[in-house]
Amino acid sequence: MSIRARIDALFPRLASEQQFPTQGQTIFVDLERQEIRRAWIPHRVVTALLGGRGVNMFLLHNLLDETLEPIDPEVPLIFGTGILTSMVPSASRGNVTSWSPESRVLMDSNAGDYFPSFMKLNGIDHLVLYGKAPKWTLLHFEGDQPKFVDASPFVGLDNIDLRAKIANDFNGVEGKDYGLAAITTAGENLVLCSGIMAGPKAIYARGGPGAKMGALNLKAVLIQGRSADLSTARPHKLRNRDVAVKLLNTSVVKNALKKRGTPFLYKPSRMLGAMGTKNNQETTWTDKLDAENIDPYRPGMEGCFACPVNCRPLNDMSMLGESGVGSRESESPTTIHDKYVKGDGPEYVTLGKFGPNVGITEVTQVLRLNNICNDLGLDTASTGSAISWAMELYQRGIITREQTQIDLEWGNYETIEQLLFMTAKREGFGDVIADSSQAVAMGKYPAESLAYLMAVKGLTQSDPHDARILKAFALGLAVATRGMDHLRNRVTLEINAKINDSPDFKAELYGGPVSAEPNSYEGKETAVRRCENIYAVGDSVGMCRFTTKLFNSPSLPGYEEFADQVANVTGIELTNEAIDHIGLNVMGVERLINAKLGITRADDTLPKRWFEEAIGVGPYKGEKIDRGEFDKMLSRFYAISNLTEEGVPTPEWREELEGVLTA
Amino acid sequence: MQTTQTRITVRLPEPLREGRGDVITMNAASLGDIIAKLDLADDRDELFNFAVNGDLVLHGEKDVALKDGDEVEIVVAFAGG
Repeated sequence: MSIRARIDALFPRLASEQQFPTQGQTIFVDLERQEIRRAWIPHRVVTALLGGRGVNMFLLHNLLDETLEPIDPEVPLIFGTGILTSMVPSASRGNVTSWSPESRVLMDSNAGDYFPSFMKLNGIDHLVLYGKAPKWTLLHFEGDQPKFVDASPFVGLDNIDLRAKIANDFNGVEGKDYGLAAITTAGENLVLCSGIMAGPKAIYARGGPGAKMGALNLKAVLIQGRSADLSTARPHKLRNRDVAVKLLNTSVVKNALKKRGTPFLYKPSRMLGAMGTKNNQETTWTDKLDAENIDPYRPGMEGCFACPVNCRPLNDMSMLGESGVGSRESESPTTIHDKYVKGDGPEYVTLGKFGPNVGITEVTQVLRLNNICNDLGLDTASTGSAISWAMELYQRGIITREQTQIDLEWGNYETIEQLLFMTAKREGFGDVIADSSQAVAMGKYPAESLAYLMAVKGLTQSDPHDARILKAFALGLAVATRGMDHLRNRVTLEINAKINDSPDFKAELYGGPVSAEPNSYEGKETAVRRCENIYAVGDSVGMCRFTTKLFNSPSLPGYEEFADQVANVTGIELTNEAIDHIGLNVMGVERLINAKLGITRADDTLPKRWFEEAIGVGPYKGEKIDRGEFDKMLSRFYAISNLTEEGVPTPEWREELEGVLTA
Repeated sequence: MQTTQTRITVRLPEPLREGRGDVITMNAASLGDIIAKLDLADDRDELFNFAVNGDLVLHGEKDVALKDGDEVEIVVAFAGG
């Protein structure tokens, strides 16, 4: 059945008018025929899946033809904005969803900055894009009215120049006048580790969304203006003040996120002996990359739409900024004064993936690679992982200089920088990196290479933390529906000794007893289940993960605040239990989609290395994952998640979900 | 009669310095003593971990015994970003 026939079949099950105050439209855009259809998500779907990521799954489940290839323009690319996005402090996020060309399972990636908020501000809750545009296109919404603009003047531009040209040509300021989601040359060249840039650094990163958008011949989506009537069902601003106060009073926000951002994580991971190094062959690295060593290069912090936290560190290696930070004396003699001398970031992920994971020890080199990736639209997690995988293969002689034509020794900064540009253009060995985890399937590496690929379900690990020690982290990475990614369910508080030593408090947090010992398998399924639910709800309301309860703090806004503001904004009343069940539903639909794509229990696993090679340093030296214990933990996780032993929703629950999805 | 002193060097993170500088020394026989002396015991939201001679402690922290000359570093406990 074609995508147009699938949409025809779906339409009678959608609503023809707004279902609640502030609800935006779902707009179906046929890029090939330049046709538009509009509908609203029905109330019964909203009460089961809320919005954002959850409703994206409803749409994908209905529109996916799994007999095609992920890159096929008949497989839609779906943008969604959370039900509270732009309405509540720190709720500035949205998701993009499809079938991943990189992992070949569910693609679902989240970004903030301004684009998701401008969707909401213009009455667009979901944007379903399909069909290949006859020529490169920029989809320009003024309010909710789209125009198909010839994008040829923008083709070949990367993020820095593209954003400058769009600001100039469309006469506006990003964040104030418009939101922009765009691909770079990497997306144009269908690079599988490329993302969709939602800002100078903000990126829909994981699973190859850049390649997916490139396959539609769609260079950018620009949403200009603030046209929607966002009158709420009940006053919500007073409760917003509570949310903001709660955010700003949380220790982890005050003491870490607002000051240095996520690079704070590097130090505890390194000290634990859990810092993925050289493709996880080692697990600790230099203190030269500790967050405080980035201080001299940080002129300030940035933030997303209406977020009081401002957790994004900026960087400036020129030391010529007006902020007064840094000094000529601390400037590296090797600093290159080009457009990459300053930028936005890095996050911890980039610090780890382009530091220890590739053998780099210098802060300024990591900062520069970060700035280049932001410009080239490369997902630093996937790209860094693909490079470290190649480096290990080179180290082992599985690939040779003869094949690569470049020196892939660990820590070879010049090669890594060069390789990023080659990857974006698919030139030389960059064409291999551009195939990311699919390099073996594409015939570019021998099959034995898969033994060294740090990936689950075809997606390389999102963050640098080596999870052989903390078994809850390991389980989370194994069961995450989009592949090996910590942002779906990480029980981050397992690293907190004070909470581990408070069994009653810990049991209350997770809804059941969880072992105090981070390397124990006992009860970890309970903690992962609770985190997976609340994070799925967070993505569906549009809340940032960093400011969602359980992600680094028990004190951040959670179900209570989400339920209150959903009621105030939309008039839809949900109990805490109901909202928790929505989180479970989102995971359930994602597992139904993955099942259609052939995913089974065997795919809820971990890289071979973590089962077979022990950690060699630190307080948990000797630790690895025991296959038998892991398997038992996985079964327990399925049992409390309403899943069968094969990891799909039980027949009764499946019937309930399909009632929502297809009724 | 001579008493045994267990002199510990403690590195403080920025939020806990309060004019004290980044390194202090104190007598403490366990991490529990340091937690009590720094008045960190009951403040659930203050998310700090301890590393003893570079090794991060993830549970049972109050009972971790210290010996003379040990170095304790207090770091912000953070694992997701």
